[in-house]
Amino acid sequence: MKNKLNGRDFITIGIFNAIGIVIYMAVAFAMATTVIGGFIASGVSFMVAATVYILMAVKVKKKGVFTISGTLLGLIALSGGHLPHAVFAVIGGMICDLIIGNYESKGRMIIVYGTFALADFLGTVIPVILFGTASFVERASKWKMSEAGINEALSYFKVSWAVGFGLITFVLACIGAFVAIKILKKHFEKAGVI
Amino acid sequence: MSDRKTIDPRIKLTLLPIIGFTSFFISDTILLFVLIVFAFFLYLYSGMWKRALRFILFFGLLYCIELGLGKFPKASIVFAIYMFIYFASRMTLIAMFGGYITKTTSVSEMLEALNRMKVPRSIGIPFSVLLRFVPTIKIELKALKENMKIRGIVTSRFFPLLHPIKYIEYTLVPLLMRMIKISDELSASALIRGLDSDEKRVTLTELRFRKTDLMIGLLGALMIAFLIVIQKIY
Repeated sequence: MKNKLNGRDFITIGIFNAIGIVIYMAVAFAMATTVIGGFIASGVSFMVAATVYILMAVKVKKKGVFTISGTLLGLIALSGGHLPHAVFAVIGGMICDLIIGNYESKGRMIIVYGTFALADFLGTVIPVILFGTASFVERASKWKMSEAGINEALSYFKVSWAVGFGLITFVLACIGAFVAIKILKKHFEKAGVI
Repeated sequence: MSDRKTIDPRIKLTLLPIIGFTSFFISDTILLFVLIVFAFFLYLYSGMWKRALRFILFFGLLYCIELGLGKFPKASIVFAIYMFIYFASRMTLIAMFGGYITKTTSVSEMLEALNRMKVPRSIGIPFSVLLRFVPTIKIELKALKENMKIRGIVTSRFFPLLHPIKYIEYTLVPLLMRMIKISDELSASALIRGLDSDEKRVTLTELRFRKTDLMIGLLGALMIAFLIVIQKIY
């Protein structure tokens, strides 16, 4: 009974996810306007939103937090029409819940947050790699883009690039989580809210 | 909220992902005007045409920019702007539908609809809280900004650009503090109304599938099918 989520936790999760998703949207939308920024968008936005998610995890401290968060993020992504993003977010949330254990170890929390961001990144990038090339060429030729420009943009759609940017995303999210834990210690623990 | 005419939340929740998916699938912005007209019709039905007009004006502006950009195809910066416009116009469309949903659906309606759609409570409750919470966050952020100005922390307009890390910390920490308070209050008020009970819930919210709901749903589905067919043939 003690480890089951109750109504209070559901509301807490909902509220904190609202802030997290608002931050995520704002940062990602600002980043995704450029071709290269689109690849680190999820890393940077999760770096900013780290405090929200870590605070939520520390406040609730029960199994299932990240699964629900992933599902909510997935539902929002689904309403924007990104089906693979939704699937990856849910799976990522489940994996995170398996790793995190009992919320005691700080290192584990950082890794979990990195994984969560990585799942989000994979959800946005894998469809681009699989289907993006064809539709991109079609769209670019419609816009009479120069041959060199197309090739330059296409060189970003490679698996090795995806792995590299995935690592960058993971590292950025881990940095965010590390800073978030420091912020929690500085502000929230003293105030006695967690 | 109750005196406003609106369609069944279940139809809204089904239409939104489909519309989002189609809007990215369709590459000609002119075709999206069909969906915009549909959304305008929905807003009109609920009597919020002023808000809808604002969305339409913005969308028209984006479309004009896109047409204007077509005149200068050579420069590479044009493509970056084009990508931006492409995303912005789709996002406007989705925001229009999303805004309609959040404006016309109350929490209890949403909960009941999700309940009837057999969504588990662990997803339903956070999701409806999330949807209703975005306006609250906006109000809180506005209050925070004024507060920072009064206390002389933010002296210039460029403070967020000059000290981004400081700005994030100064905004996020008080905001989260407030949110912890609000979440406690909200859960207290929800628990006292029996949110946590295992019994089957009954609601005062009337949720019936009327003929108009069915017609609007069919109309939306027809429009989307029409768009896809045109895109395929074209």
